[in-house]
Order: sequence, then structure tokens, then C-alpha cells
Amino acid sequence: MNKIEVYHPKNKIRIVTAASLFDGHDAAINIMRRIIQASGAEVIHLGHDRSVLDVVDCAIQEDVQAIAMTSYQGGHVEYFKYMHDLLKEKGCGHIKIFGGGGGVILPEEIKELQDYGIARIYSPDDGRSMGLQGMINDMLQQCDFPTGMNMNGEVDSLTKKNPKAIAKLISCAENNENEFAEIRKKIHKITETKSIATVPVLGITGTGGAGKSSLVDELVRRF
Amino acid sequence: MNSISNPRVYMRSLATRQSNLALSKYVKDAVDVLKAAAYDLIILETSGIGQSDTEIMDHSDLALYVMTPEYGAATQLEKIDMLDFADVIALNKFDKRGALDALRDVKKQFKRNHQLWETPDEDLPVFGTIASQFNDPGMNRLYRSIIDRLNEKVKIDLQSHFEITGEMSEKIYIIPPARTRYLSEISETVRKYAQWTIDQGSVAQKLFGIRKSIDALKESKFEDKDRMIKQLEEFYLQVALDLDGKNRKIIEDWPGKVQRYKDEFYVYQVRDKDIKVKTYTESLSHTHIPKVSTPKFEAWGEILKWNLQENFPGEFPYTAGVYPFKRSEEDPTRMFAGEGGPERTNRRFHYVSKGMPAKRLSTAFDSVTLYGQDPDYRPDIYGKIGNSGVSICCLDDAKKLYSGFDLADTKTSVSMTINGPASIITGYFMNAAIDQQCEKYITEHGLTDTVKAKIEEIFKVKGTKQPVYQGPLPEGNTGLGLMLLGVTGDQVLPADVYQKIKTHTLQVVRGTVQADILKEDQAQNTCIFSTEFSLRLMGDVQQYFIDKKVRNFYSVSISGYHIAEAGANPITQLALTLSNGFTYVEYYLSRGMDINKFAPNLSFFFSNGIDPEYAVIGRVARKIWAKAMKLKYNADERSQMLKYHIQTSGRSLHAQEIDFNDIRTTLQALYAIYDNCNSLHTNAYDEAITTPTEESVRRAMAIQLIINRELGLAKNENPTQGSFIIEELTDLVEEAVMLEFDRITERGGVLGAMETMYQRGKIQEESLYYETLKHNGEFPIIGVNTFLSSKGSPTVVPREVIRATSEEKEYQINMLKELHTLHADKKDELLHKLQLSAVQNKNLFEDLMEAAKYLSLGQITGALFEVGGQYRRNM
Repeated sequence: MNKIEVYHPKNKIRIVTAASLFDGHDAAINIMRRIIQASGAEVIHLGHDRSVLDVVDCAIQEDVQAIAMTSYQGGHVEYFKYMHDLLKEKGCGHIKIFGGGGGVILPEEIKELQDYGIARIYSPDDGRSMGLQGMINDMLQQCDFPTGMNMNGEVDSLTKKNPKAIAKLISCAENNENEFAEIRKKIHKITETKSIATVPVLGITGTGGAGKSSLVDELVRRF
Repeated sequence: MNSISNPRVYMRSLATRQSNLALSKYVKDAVDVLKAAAYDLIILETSGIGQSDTEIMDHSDLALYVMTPEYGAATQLEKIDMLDFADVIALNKFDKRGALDALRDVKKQFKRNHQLWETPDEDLPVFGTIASQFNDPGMNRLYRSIIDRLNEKVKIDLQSHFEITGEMSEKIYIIPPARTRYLSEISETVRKYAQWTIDQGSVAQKLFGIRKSIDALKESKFEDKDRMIKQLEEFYLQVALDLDGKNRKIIEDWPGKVQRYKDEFYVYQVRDKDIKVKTYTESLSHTHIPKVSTPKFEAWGEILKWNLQENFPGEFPYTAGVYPFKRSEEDPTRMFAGEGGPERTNRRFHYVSKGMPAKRLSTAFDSVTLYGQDPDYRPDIYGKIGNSGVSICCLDDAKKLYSGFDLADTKTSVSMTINGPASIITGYFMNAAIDQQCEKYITEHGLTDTVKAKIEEIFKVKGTKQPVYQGPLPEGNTGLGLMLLGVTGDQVLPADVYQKIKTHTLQVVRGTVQADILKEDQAQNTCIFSTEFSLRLMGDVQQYFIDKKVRNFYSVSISGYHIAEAGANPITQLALTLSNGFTYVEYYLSRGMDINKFAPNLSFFFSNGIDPEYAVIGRVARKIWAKAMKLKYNADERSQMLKYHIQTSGRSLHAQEIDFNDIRTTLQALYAIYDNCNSLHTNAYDEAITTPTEESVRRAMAIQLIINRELGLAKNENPTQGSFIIEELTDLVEEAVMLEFDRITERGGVLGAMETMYQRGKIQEESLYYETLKHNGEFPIIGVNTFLSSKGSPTVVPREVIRATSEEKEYQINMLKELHTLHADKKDELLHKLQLSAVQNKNLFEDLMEAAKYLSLGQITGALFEVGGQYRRNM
């Protein structure tokens, strides 16, 4: 086997990974997400048994370039199409969808899905010809576009708590200091108002493995 | 996180984009954006990479530090900066050892750091919490304290109506802390027994030597032979003191024991019935092939050791099998089906069991059912209805699924591959079986017309129609079970009659429900409830089985299959599965159940791959189980017998050269049959690429039938006994399993090891090893990585794929809607009762049996999520 060069993205790439709803097959996505991460992208992994709504909401809030899913339990055509539709409906058609499911997804279904607008479904034969890194490289190349650019009045709609706007603003802060400098001033103006200045921030820290996430989950549940 | 799927919550992760940092440098901007969006509360969590996360102080109004009791000595606390800075401390995982001491020490340190000498201990903002536990009192107190302090510090007015009780977080233990060494106690027992066998063997061998010397001397012409004989006799008596009386009897009885297998008939008792078995079959060459062949040992040491570690089938430690002979009328063939709606699967069941005297039905459920949900139009659910398994969401589905099979007949047994919602599906199954018997009663007593009129009246009142089986009945389906669709026996029969039928049916119904939640968390991921809640449900079912004398239904099938499918090697498969099994034993014992009442309801399920260790997996499993049951748990003979189902390995089926798959399956089936498995499923060769077709399933069944009926050597029932390699492998695998038991003990037993995902990690590591060797060709796979055809053995693409039709899906959804309307009046009351029982720790299965009559799967799981704590993924 020839060693495949790792593709180095020019932009900060963020990707949501998960396994489909009612689907516990997480071995493949676990390997993939590690390679994606090792290739320099930021991965938000949601684990197995994830509904389309869960994944789409997360993708929007995290302002990712792409979603990478596996589906081994059938129903993939409906699943991926619904994901595509829902992203569009929420105004985030720019988020690309990648998928895989071994031999479960038939070649004609792959074609059907890609024609529908799914960026790519990788087949076992792709795996053999491209290698794992080859598939990840292909995906990262397609995702190598910036986020948090070309802001367009997101600040003004902030109070509507539109997740897409919030997400874009945070990305702008992270990736695009030029534009954010102006926006920052506007935001500070808002945060100086009395009702906003008192929004409390609870900081949580602690040793790894102390169960912080479970604890936060329980706090949020009670809140 | 389960709680964030809520429009009120926005969650964002920020990569640090730089090493050694706990927080991204864009935190301030991000927090400002969220503030500007006017959220009520912002929670900022660090990645927890170091102890000095004090940076977080710059960005927050209130700081919470989360730690565990496992920080080492109290002096270590002085090094934790956050104890200086944090406003509130959570001592999470409060169930860990030394938690109370830790709470005391952390409070002391907090006092010192914050100069709070006057504050009483109970007012300090340090809380013991178990976040993983449902409705944890410590979590409640922590939450309330955070809200109060935020109000105070930021001058806001958040309202909390949480009732706070003074109680501490207290772990509800599955396995009592004093019992966590159970696995090592078993390995000690097994090793002690092995040593004892060797010691006793050498005593017996010595005695044999002396006896033989005496005999030889008697025949000799030595002058002083009388003196020598006398001395040897004395020595014999002295050595004989070291031989256990039972072992002496084994040696004395040996010739007679062997003779019983050489007589024409062997007679033995099962549940007080005499069973007479012909001891041989005759080949075409008129050779008598013994069913059980016997060793030719003469030396007592050999005889004794063989009896103690091997023995004949049906005798302790059951290495060669749990029954003296195989049942002649019943092949261990299971008929597997599951696709589309219940009608389609019912037709397949009748097709595959046609002409078979025993109906052993094995059911695969679709993933919607496996995750405890109802069919729905939502596309991500819709696409999965009836795919890779049958869609079952209510009692009527179960009735149709098994219609035409008498579930109370001793020749019918049903296995159901379901875990998360196993107890609910069992409720449907049991009710379906009861209603079938009600139906039989109705027909036999000439009540058909009266009952039909009653049913008509019921539906007339409700304004709906009685559900019916969709399409024509298949050949062989008598329609039994369909009369009472939409109603239950108690609605049409007098209460006492119904009760009598119910009691009787429960006592005779035969089958298995997988229900093994531990391996789900370790390998397969179809958990829907938290592990604790799932275990409790399993215990409730088992308790119900004991109370109602459900004897022929296995309440759990402790499964290694999925562990092996996820990539574990055979030793790990066996070790993890047995360790899970013993965990159920310990849990049921801790609930006060009698081992002899529940152990016979446990069954096992393994995968047989192609590795050498699979030749002995049943032998080792039976042996370890029997020894642990007899010597450690003092259980009776029935409990000592480990019974298991084998399915040939799905992972060893390849999508290239799929015709070769049947060859692999045949070899694996041969391992299984030679090893005396109690039931067997052979995979179809096309399963790697699609749902098996009728043709491929028939071929898979032919594999078993050819071995069982045609293969001459398989007429013998202990063909592997006496083989050097089989004995050596048995010893090697047994010891390897014992070592794994010790490793799990070091991690706090099975549940402790699961917390750190030990089992999962091990399985993944072994999977990677196999994939690597397969990839680089070191592990040869014919037609996959070597011996490729001239075309390079490409991946085979299936011609047709069986998928559920939209007609089937639509029917399932509409039928469900009607069911919901039909029983809308009962829903709230039943669900409330169920939730109440959950909270009050009553037996939930009693209520589930009742709820199963009227409610759908999704309604029941939804109600239980509210009181049981949903499963939370570990990553």
C-alpha cells in the first residue's frame, strides 16, 4: 500500500459526525472521526442513534462545513434526503452531507442520493481504491471553504435567538478578525444595556473524567 | 447529553486551536455574542486538561469545580488552585470508595482556602453528586445552590422550585460493594479445583501403582514377597487416606459406568421420567457407531482426572455436554425470520418451518422496535420501519407474528432478539400466548359465536373495526391467535377462566428473550434505558418468572455473539460473556432470589468463527459455569448446566466471492455440532450483502441438516473427547478466561470496568488487530485477500434487496393510530400506574403485562424514560 499524503486544509474545517437513528454501528464512524481529527479538522462527535433533527441542529449551532454520517441499519435514502431537506429549510443548505454504510447502501441508491444533493456517499469499493485517508482527503477538499465571512446584519437579529446567526457570529470571531472588529463594537453596545449585562455566566471546570458533561447535562435538564 | 435537544438551548464547542490551553482565546467574544442574544444563563465548560483551569474565572460570574473522590491523599488538595477560586465544588462520582472522607477533606480545605472558619460544614458549597444517577438528591442540592448563588452574585432573579431534601447522594448499588470480587472468587475456585484434581489424581495414580506392584509381586517368585506385599498393603492403606471418598467411588464404579455405554440401551432419568436410548447407530457397512465412545484408561489417576475435568456428556462438570444424549426428535435448527410487517414475517416462519416437527422460531426486529419506538411518518423513522427485521409495536403485531404456531405446545419455542425494550416485548409475547390459549378454550367449549358477538359489540361501542391479518394466510397457518385481535381474553371470558388459562400458559410457554443489556453497552449499542434501570427491569422479569413458575422460558440470553461481531477474539468473547452472566447471578442474588430458581432461566449465545478456540468454546463455557455454580454458589444440578445457542459468525461472511461463505459456515457449524451446542443458527451466504432470500436460507439450513443427518461421524455425540489438541486448547482457553476475570476484578467487576469502557476498548483493539492482518494479508482469507479470481474477486452487488414496502409501512402506522384511539381512555391511568411502580420500586413487569394489552411500545418506553433516566452515551 502506498502511503497517502494527508490533505492540509487552508481553512478551519469543522465537521459533525454521528451514526444514524436507531443504529448502534459506531465502529466505522469512530475510526473516521479520528482520521478527520488527525487531518486537522475540528470534529463534534454525537455518537450513535441520532435523529436527523439532532444532527442538523448541532451542525447549525456549531456552524460546521459538513456532516459525516454512517447508516448501516437501512432507511438511509429517507434519512439522508430528510437531512438535506431540513438543512435547506433552516437556511443552511451550504452544509455538506457525507455518508457511508458499507454494502448496505446500494450503488443505485448512492447515485440517487448524490443526484439529490448529498455531497458524497462512500462505497466499500471507494474504500478499497481510495483508502481511508483518501476518502477523508476527498471530503476535506470539498469542505475547504471559510465560515464566518460576509456577515450580513446577524447582530441585529440576535435577540431572536436565531441559532444560525449566533453560530455565524461566533465563527466570525474565531476566523475573521477583520470583520468582527466592527461587529464587536455593536455587540458591546448591546451587552452594556442593563438587562443584558446581568446574564449570568457559570464557569465549570474540573479534572478530565470527573463527569463534567453528565453534570452539565443534569444541570441543564433541571434548568 | 440528553437535555440539549430543546429549542431553549444553544450549544457550541470551541476548539482551543492551541495546545496547553483549557479555553479558546475567542471565549470572550463567544460569550458576548450569547449575552447579546439575551439567553437566561450561559454555561462555560472547559475541556479539563489540567488542574489549573483558573482562566475560566476571568469569564464567569460563578465558578463550579467538578472533581471526584479519587484525588489521592488529602495533601493533594492543597495543589488544586480551583479550590481557592471556585465558588461551588461538586464532588461527583460520589459512589466511589472513600467519598465521605473526600467530602470531609475537601470541605476542610475549602474552609482553609476561603477563611470560612465559622461556617458550619453543612453550609459550605461543597456537594457530593452522582450525575449519572436519575434524580440524584445531591444534584438537586447542587442545582439549587448554584441558582441561589447566581441570584445573589449577579443580582438577578432566577426562580427555582426544586424541593431540596437533606439527604445525601447515595448510590443504589447493583452489586453490593462487598461482592465486587466475585469474578476472582470464581477464578480462585476454578484454580483450586484444578489443583485438587491434580493432587487427587496423583494419589490415585500412586495407589494404582502400589496395587499393580502388589499384583505383580503375587505372581512373582521372590522369596520375601509376602513381607513386601504386607508392607505395600500397609503403605496402600496409608496413601488411601489421602483419597477423597467420592473419588474412590468414581474409580470403583468406573468399569460399570463404561459398560452402560456399551449395553444396547442406556437408561437415565429426566424429571423422574425414564429415558431409554439406543447406544449406537449402524452405518451402511454395518459398523456399530457408538453414540458416546468411552476412554480405554486403566490407570486410576487418569480415570479420576478424566472424570473430574471431562466426564461423559450429562455429568459434572459437563465439559462434553449437559445431557447424556442428544434429543433424537429435535434438531437444534432455529428458523430465523424478520422483515416487513408481522404478516410477512409470519409467512416466512411458516415457510421455513414447513415439515419440521419442532418449530423453533427466531425473531429479528427492525431497528425502530429495537430502540423501543413506534413507527412514524417522520422520514428518519419511516425509512427504517420493517427493514432488517420485523416491525412490532403492540400486542396485535405479536399475535399476527406468531399466528398459526401454538405457543403453548412443547414443540414450539420462540426466541426474540431484543434488548433495550425486551421486557415490553416479552409482555406482548406472553399476552399473545395467553390469548391463543383463550382462543383454543373458546373453540373447544363452543363459545365462538358468543365471543364473536361480544367482540363485535366492543368495536361497535368504540366506533372502530377489529384489526385483521393482512392478506391470505400462508400454508400451515391455521389462524390460531387471530380471533382475539384488538381484544384480550379477559374482555371476553370470565375472570376465573382467564386467570386459569393465564397461569397455565405461563408455566408451559417455551422460548428465549435476549434481554442482555450488559453486552449492549459493551458492544452493540441498542441501549435505551440507563444500565441500572435496564438491569432492574431484567430482575423484575426474572422475579415474575419465579413467582409465576415460568420455567421453560429463558429470561435472558447472555450473548457473546455481538461482542465477537464487534471484533473481539474468541477468548475475549467467552470471558466477557461469562463475566456478564455471573454479574446477573450476583445481581439476582442481591435481590434475594434463590439461585436454583433463576439459574435455569439463564441461557447463553455465542458466535462460532473460524479460529481454533471455537472448537472448545462450549466445553470451556460449560465447565467454568458448572464449577462456579456447584462449588461457589452451591447450586443444584439443573443450575450447573449451561445451555447455549450458536450462530455462525456474521463477520466471517465476506462481500467478495460470496459462494465461499457457505464453506466457512459449514466448518463453523461443524465446530458447534461436535461441541454439542444446544441450538444452532447457520447464516446464509448472502447476508454480508443483503437480507437473505428464501433460497439462501434454505441452503443455510441444509448445512445443518447435512451434518446432523448425513455426516457419519456426527452420529457420534462426543467426537472431540480424547483428542490431545482439544484437551490442551480447553485448558489454555479456560486459564485465559480466568486471567481475564482477574483483570476485570482489578477494575471493580464488570460494572466498574464498564465505567472506564474497559470492555469496549478491548474489543476495539482486537478488532483493529484483525483488520490490520486481514488488510496486509498476514491473515489469509480465500477470495478476499488471496486466491482471487481472474477478475480480482470484486465485491458482489445484490440483485434484489428485500425492503419493506410502503404499503406495509403505511399499514403499521395507521394500525397504530387506530390502536391509540381505541385505548385512549386507558392510556393515562396505565402509564401513571407504571410510573408510580417505577418510582416506588415495585415489580414493573406486573404492570407491563397489563399495559402491554392496550398500549404501544413507544407509549410505554416514553413513560419509562420520564422515570427511569434515559440512556446516556459514553464516548
